[in-house]
Amino acid sequence: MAIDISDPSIDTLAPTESQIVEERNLETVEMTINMGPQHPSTHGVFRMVLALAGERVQQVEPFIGYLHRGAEKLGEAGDVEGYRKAVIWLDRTDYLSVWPNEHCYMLCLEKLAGLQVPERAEYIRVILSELGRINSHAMFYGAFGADAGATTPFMYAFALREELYSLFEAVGGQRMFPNYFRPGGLREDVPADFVARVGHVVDTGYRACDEFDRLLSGNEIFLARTQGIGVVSAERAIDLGLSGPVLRAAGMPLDVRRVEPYSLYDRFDFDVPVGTRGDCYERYLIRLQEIRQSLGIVEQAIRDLPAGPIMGNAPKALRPPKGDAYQRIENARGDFGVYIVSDGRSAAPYRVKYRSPCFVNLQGLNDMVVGAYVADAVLALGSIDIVLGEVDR
Amino acid sequence: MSTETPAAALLDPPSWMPGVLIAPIIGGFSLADFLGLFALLNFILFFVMFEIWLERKVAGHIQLRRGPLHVGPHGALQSPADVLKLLTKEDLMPAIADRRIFRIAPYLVFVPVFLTFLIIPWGGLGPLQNIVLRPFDLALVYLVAIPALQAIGIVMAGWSSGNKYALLGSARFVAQLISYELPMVVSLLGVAVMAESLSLTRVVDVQRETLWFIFLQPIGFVIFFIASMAEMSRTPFDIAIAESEIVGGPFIEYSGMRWGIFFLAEFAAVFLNAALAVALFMGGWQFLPGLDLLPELGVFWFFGKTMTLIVVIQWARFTLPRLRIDQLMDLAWKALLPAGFVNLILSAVYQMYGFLPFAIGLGLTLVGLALLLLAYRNQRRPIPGGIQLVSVARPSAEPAAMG
Repeated sequence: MAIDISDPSIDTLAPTESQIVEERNLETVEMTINMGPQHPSTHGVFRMVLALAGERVQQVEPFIGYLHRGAEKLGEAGDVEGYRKAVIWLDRTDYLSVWPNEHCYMLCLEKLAGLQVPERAEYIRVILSELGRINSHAMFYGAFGADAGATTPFMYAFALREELYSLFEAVGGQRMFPNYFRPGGLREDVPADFVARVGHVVDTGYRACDEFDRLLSGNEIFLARTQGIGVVSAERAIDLGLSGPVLRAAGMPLDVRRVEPYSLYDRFDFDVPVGTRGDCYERYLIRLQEIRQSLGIVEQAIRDLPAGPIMGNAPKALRPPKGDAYQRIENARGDFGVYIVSDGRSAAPYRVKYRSPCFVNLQGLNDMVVGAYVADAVLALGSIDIVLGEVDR
Repeated sequence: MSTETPAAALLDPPSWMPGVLIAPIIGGFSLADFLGLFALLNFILFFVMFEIWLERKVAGHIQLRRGPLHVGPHGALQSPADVLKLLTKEDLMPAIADRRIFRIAPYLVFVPVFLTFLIIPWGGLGPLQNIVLRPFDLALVYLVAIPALQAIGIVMAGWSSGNKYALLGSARFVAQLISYELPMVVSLLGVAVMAESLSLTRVVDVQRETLWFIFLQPIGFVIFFIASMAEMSRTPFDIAIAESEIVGGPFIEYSGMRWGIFFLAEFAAVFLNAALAVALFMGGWQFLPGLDLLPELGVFWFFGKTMTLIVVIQWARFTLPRLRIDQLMDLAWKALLPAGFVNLILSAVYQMYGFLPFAIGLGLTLVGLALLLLAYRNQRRPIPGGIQLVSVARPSAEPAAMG
């Protein structure tokens, strides 16, 4: 693709056309630059090939699949773990949004098998899912700051993350991949000091949010870098199927927890943060605001947390009747869905399919990046908040 | 106090120096000159190691960490350990690199920085008054001309690496260096007009007699400080290195000690620019404005102020995000350069009409600049639209309260 030098949108210091002809037929050519799979700000092993005119991106071509492990297929090959094996692999797809995803899988499986979940177990699931969302958004904050060139936000995010992971470790015995939810309930009850610890984490979370705001949200350079960058309009976002903060930043108040309440979400008061312009800055603000909203939900949940059993009437070897079920939830990145098909005979799912919000949100990349500077491309990619494990699955 | 402090040091060596030291041996340079250069080089190397340790400590404490702790007390030996590591690392070179240019480039980046140290007036230490290795009369011209030579080294590094990121980075670096040279020169012109001299020693002396230029030329100081930070490509102006975009820019293909020399140059430049800012605007080796406490310890006062500025530079690095290239250029051409001209005019007013009209003019200018900044912020601040909290009605339950 040749560059039209007369195009005023390409403001380079390139000489005029006549000069070019005079000066030994020097030619302005497009530069193709390969970003990734090893690149600090592609959030894993994403690769995009950018065609640049000077510093402007003319074309972007994403390549995915470097982290494809066949998580869905492996989930169908349950041996001893049966239906639970898929969860182990699901944890390793979106490694930041583990709790909501496990929650979704269990809800779907319970829908398929017709299992009842005790209220206490469901409350604990909601608490952990919301804490998982906070963890993911905190990591977004850190990574986005790093994309913008600030090194400190990452450390601030890690301070909060450490609190959360200590709690997760106390609850599930593992920091990142808990594998803690079970069809019909939980693996085991939470520790005795759970409520106190969650209360402490909530306090830390509110303080951390204020710190996040003070460090970056009002920074002039940050505002100049992110406002008006990577804009996707609401119509376009709907057309592309985007969801989560990317869609809400464009002005659509679509949150699965509200439009199609699952679990206990119709019992809690919370608001949906919505932007107006759909740029990187609003996506960032929405995530920070969602941390606060999630903290509010957690507060309500620990206040109402009932006593009682944590496991329902689920059989040890689960064999759901022949059929299929689909469950969608709002995870940290958007509209996550699990689809399970059972053939009614085997101890493992016949088919498992995940609706991956990162993969779909990535479709907005072209709209965000083309025409922007290279530096903006990095920020736009960061503002989608992809996790490559989930895109590639 | 004499108006002309004798520019002593090695050009006019003190009488107690033995003749063998001051006799010219090669091209007019005496043994003392070479010893001075050698001492300076070693001093810079050790100071840079200290500075890196300090930077990591400052970074740690800003980032809720503690920085290096394990090698030596409070990690004090971390930098020597790192240098050892760099020295033993393999010196990798890309297959398509232009080998000779690739090898030379790091030195061409460091040498200009080193050469600029020659003109720094360090102040007095004991019997030695006013140590300057080369008290040029045209020091201000020199300090604009020589550091700019770095651009050649950077372009060589970027080009010879055979890497597109390196090429982009070096192009950015040169664009940045050239753009920020102008505001820097204009801010130095203000200093020159006010001091009626281009000699750094004289600039320091004038500040000792009147007032530090940071008070007389606050605009000039800010411009110089920002421009020097941009010239050495430090955050928030590190677009030429930009880890998260172009992965280290010109240095991407370098490893081992060659990479280390680039960073030696960078940290030496931080030291250099802080020292220059002290000499030009903060009264050099004077203890406090209008107070010449113990000029025999001038070197220490000088270093105290320099260290303060270095910490400010590091503070900025670990607090601010990075500007984009067009914003960087906008800042240089649309903000710093016009402000620099205003500063220059004010300096001229000072020379022609005296202090009072100058003070009034400066006050008015500062108020005007503050208003401009406010207007800029207001234009950006009320984020149009912004985010709002929407209570979406729960399908089954009663409508939620507005948050």
